[in-house]
Amino acid sequence: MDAVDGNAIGGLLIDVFGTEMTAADSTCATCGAGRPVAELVVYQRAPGTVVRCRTCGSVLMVFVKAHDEVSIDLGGLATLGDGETGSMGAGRTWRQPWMPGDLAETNTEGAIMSHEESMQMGTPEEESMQMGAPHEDPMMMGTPHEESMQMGTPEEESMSMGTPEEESMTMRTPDEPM
Amino acid sequence: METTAVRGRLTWQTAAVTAITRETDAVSTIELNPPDWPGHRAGQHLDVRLTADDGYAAERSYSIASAPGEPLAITVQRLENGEVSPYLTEELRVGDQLELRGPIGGYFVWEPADHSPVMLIAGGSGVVPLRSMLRHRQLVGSDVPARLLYSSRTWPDVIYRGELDHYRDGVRVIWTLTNSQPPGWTGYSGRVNAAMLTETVWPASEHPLAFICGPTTFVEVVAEHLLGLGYPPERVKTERFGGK
Repeated sequence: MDAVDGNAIGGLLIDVFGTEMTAADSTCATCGAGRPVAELVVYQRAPGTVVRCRTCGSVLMVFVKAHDEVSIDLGGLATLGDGETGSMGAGRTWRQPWMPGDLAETNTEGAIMSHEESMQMGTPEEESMQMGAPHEDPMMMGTPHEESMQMGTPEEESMSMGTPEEESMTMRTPDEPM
Repeated sequence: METTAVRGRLTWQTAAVTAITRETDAVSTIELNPPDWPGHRAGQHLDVRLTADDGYAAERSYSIASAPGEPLAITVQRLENGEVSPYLTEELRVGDQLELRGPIGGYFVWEPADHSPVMLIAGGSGVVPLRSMLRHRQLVGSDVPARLLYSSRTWPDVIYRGELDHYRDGVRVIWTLTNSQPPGWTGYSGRVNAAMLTETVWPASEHPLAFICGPTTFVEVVAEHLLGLGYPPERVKTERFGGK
């Protein structure tokens, strides 16, 4: 199965982020390449969607749909969204990914979190939600389809989805690049 | 199940099929009448969901073929062994209902406010969102010069053939046929390559805006050539359909 590109997951991204994301900028945490989400490499193979960097091939995002829930891993991204354009929802900043409280202590320096100003992800239901402390209670947010979004810390991912390397092994199809 | 649409989210809705037009042997345009359509931009797509009796659901994305302001339409190519497209192109009838959500996409979109010359390059059914752009340009009376380089396998495979043939007034359509050409063929023959692009695309010095849509390999080859011709990456917008 050939790769498509980020345009193809516009609907999924609206499910997850609550707003149009294909025109948003992204930065690869591995090689630093920046490009619009629409230009990223996307492999769609149910139930998972794997998004890779077009420059270095690193896994940037993984979405796994199961039982009406979407688990997401953004661990390969350094930044997502462009604060200047407000493309991810003006005035809403999530300073920390959602995480279970007992893991919070060890996860304040993740790649996503170190670029708080770029991570302006808004959901219409949660006006001006600001997650500033690493001790927040676990958060689960339902989408209109009752999907909950679980943004993981690296440890959390290991528990629920495997490490990025394991994921790419299980998700990869023979014709996908390493 | 249906709930009030929350701002910024996509809600599935059921649209009635109001017209079906056969474009080629394998391609149909399906006009839809969703009850709650906020309007779309030229180049956007929508998601279609089919649900089987046993609950199994399949979703696919289809480019919107109509211009903003026109009745909503998608153009669908039947893929052999496809899950969704054979149903849409062979079994769906006027009056049937179809579950969809959209519009989707904010990147592969043309706005008339951009006065740059437009370079549209399509492989196969990649012409669909570009057709929306051309119709949009026409409907708003834009005088932005536009070119469409459109690669198809054979003349009978060309989608919107009659319509594209009639464009004048600042629109030039350039055809290439890769597999076979009819007698007296005056267009290009063969796959889009560097020489063909050099002859047909706006020079980079005119600051064109390019949209490339088609199979993944096609898009990547063409985009690479445009960069080689001096197009800045941010002026080359791409949408990849995957394999042939």
